[in-house]
Amino acid sequence: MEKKHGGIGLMIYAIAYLTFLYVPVLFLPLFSFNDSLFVAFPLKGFTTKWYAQMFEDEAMHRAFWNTLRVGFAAALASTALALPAAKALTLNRMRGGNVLIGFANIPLFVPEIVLGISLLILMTAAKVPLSLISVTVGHTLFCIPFALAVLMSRFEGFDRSLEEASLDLGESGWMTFWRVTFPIVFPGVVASLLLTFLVSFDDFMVAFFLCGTDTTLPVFIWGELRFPFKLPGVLALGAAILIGSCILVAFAEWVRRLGTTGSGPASFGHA
Amino acid sequence: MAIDNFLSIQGVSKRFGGTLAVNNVSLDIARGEFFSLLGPSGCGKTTLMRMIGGFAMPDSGIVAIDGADVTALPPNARPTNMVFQSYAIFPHLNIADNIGYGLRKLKLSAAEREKRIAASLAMIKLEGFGQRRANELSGGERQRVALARALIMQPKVLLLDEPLGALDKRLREAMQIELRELQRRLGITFVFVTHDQDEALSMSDRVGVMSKGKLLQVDKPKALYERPGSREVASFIGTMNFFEGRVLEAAADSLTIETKEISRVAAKPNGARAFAVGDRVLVAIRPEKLSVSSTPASVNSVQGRLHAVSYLGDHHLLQIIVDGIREPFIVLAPSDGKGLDENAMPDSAVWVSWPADGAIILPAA
Repeated sequence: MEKKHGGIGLMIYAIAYLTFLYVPVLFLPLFSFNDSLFVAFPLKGFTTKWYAQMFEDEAMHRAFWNTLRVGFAAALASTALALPAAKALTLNRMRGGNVLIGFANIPLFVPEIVLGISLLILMTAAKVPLSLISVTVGHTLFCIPFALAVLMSRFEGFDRSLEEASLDLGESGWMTFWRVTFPIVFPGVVASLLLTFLVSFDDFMVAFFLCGTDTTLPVFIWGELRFPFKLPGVLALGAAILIGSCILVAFAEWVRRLGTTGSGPASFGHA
Repeated sequence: MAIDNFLSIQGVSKRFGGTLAVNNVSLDIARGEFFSLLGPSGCGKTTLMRMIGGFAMPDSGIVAIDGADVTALPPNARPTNMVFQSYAIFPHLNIADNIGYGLRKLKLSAAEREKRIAASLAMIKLEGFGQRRANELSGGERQRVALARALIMQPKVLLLDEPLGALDKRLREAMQIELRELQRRLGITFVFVTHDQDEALSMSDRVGVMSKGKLLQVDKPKALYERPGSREVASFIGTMNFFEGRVLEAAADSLTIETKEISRVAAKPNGARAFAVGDRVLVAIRPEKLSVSSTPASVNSVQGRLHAVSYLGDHHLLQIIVDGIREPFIVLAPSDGKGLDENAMPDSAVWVSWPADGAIILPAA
């Protein structure tokens, strides 16, 4: 009996939690279909014209394209940098590894505005012109902790003797990486690429400080908010990004888990 | 048997942090020999084998194979291959590609590669399994794939790290016979690491017993069982009854040993070891060398109390407590009633006896 009461309590808590988390977000798609310039109840009627308007906006297209390019570059760079680090920290049990993980995670805890300003100062001092390149550098920096977390979880449980077996069968360390290590952690690499792409795609603060005149999508949206008549279009854009992000995250999580059960070499017990 | 030094290990040591994992081990293994490294876990046997394979570098000493010093060579430059304890079957490749993994370096034609893989699959009786994945195979099948993948490289020395440890008892025994037969047929030198003494004794030409980083004794299985060189070896291989004494008389072919608990013990010196009067010694007797009766025998008899009897089918395992000796005597007596009174009840008085050549005399540590 008590157990059942606990179950109901937990259920109420879960529903309240999810409502609090998602209802505000759901206003975005809701108003994006509302046939009115003003974001207010009651709803006036159903329309898709805001979406049509959004797709016709040249500046939006440029910003979207910029965001994609930065996202791809930052995802590739951060994943490529995190891959050897993740391997060293898990498989090779590098000395002082925990300290290094701590340092690598610092960008997660530094307020983004501080990160943005400090990167701006650095870029200015180094005379790097503010452009998509400076944004990519900034994004790579704070995507690394995400890439590291995803890749390290994939390396956990990786049987070291697989690499030893490859060396034993005559392969070099480099070929062992490409023939054994990389294919086995590949789902983690894909998950890391997707996640870091998304982190870069969604970032406003760092891009705001570093993009100069090459606006990315979040910076473009921020600019659009100055014009009240453009608000519904921004809502439509926001809703589209929201749905795209959800699909990408779900896909990344699915890929990350691929092959982590059942195909392991040591699915029987041994010390 | 003259031991040629096909695989030669000279004064090899390896330290991990504060502990000497392998302590100054020297060992020569002959071409085509089935050699086992036997010892409890943590004794250094795996570390020693990993140094033969190139997965660990000795801090000092030399490893040479077929006359060539390989001490500094990485695993991919050594004429050795290894069967890993976890088998290390590549999960992203099918069985044929697992077996053919090492062939890439040989730059074979596709047809030649296929031919060798097919022959290899036939050798391990897994024809038609080439397209399967490791997770579709049983433990025993995976073990054979790991073996085939190593043997296809035609190594001069095959290293096997507890390869049968993960298999159940029946399969393990079948694989022991299969492995031994395969090794004889191929004539490849096997270095087999195990903590299972039955496995080591039944399969090997010679066995090296290790403990705490040291190689205690290297001998043929029979010699190891019948003439262990130390208490550690004697107690690790099979069951052994021990008691201490002092040499009272020493002749060329007989010893008299005085013990506190049992009057005088007559024994024969075994092996090349010579004892002098006054030496402190350890008397070691196998359970099957002891016999039990209700009356004392003419030589080497001691009275005790029957503590427990376990029925083992063709034998009885008896525990007999002798006053003054800490561990009860373990006696393996035939079940046909010879020697043991059928009506012997626990706590009844019995005599334990053994012939003069039934005991092994070791120097007391």
